[in-house]
Amino acid sequence: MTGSGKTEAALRSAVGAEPPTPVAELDAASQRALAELIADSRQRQQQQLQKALEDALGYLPRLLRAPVRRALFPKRGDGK
Amino acid sequence: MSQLAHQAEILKLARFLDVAPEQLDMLDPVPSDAIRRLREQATEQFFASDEAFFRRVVSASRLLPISLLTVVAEKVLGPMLSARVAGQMDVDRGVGIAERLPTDFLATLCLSLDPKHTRDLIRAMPEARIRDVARELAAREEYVTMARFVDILDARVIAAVIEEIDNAGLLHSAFFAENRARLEEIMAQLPEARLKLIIETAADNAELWPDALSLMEHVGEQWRGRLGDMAAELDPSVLTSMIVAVRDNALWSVALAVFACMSEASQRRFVALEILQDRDVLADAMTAADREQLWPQVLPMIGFMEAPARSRVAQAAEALDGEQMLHVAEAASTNDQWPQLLQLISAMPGGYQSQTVNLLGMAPERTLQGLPEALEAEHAWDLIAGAWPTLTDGARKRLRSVAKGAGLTGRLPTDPA
Repeated sequence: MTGSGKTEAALRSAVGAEPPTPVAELDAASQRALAELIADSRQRQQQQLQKALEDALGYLPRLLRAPVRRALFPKRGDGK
Repeated sequence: MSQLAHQAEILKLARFLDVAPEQLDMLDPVPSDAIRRLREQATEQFFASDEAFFRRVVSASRLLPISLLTVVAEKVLGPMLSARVAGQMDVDRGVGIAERLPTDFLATLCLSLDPKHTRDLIRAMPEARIRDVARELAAREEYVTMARFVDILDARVIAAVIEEIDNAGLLHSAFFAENRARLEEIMAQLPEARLKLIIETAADNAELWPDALSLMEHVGEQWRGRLGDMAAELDPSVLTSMIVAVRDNALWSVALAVFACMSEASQRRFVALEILQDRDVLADAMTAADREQLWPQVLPMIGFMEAPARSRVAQAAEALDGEQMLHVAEAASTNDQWPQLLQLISAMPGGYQSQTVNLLGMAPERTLQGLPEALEAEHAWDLIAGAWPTLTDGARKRLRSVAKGAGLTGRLPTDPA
């Protein structure tokens, strides 16, 4: 069974490469579920990181907060 | 596909994604090496997509003293995010921070650390600190994590770490090791007494045998044979407990692969085990041998058996169907194992014996090459003579042809005029 092109694209996007052949040959629903698990995991990690860095700024002496913030987020919206 | 390797890779991927292993059930039909590759791809993707951001984190960190970074790592970032930052950190500063962080924090951080991206940092860590963390990880039974560092750490450091881990912990860690070839290098540093203690630990604790068998499966043939011989040299209860685990976990393919690499003396001890005289166990082993195409490993066992044991195997062989018996013939033909197969057929009950010879007659002529010579060497022409009246014309023709090629036509019965 080979997944649909769309599903393969979702999985390819989640792992950033052509998945190994046995994985790409899973049925469409399995590939979709796998792609979703990987994408969710990555999103969770990014959200945790973002929050932790915002929290970290609060721990720094006031004098250091501005330069550290500039180094972390060079311009508005640039941070992930 | 090894089910043990598959299980290990599922656990590693589940750990990486922070999901329950059951959520990865869709990967059940996927071979372990493909799952490993998928995990490597996902890891690369996670790191690559965040690389620019993590570089900025590290740039920002250079503005801060190590003491303050230690506080930020421990109190704010937490172990998982600190592990991600560690991949970009200057080695000297990274070591400085790690030396100040509590051991339990570092152990938790290791769960999320990617060894490939932190190789230089890990190698720069003081040995004493690595031992502390290894001891903590072992206490937490974090064997998946410990195994991931086998490739990265210097062999001398690994030897020091091994002193911190008990035998069960070593087996569990070996089960998850990324680079199985590296295991041989590590095992070579262990005294034989320690290796035997590890095997005895598996014998005393049935749930450890799958890990021990996984280790035996993945090392090279020389080490596989050496470990198998060590097990055979111990009390027979050790091999018996292994067979029980093999039967209960459907691991015959591994056990038979180990058997094939053992010395002849060890193989004889193996086939003499009381548990291998049980008809159901034998039938189970034969079914697995057929499924895993392990007849070349199994047939030599017949040659080592005393008559009563061989007779029990012959009875158990009745569980094989015609197609499976033809697989045995094919293996015997390809691997010069006709003598062992003839010994098995000779030990079969009369009716089944004749039926089996009839089945052999259905094999293609190329498969039957070598059979006349083996019949001669084993003085087993009676087997053919007994079944001759029931053989098809085609079977007789094929047997005549191979007998003629071997110069042994005269040994065949003559057909009635």
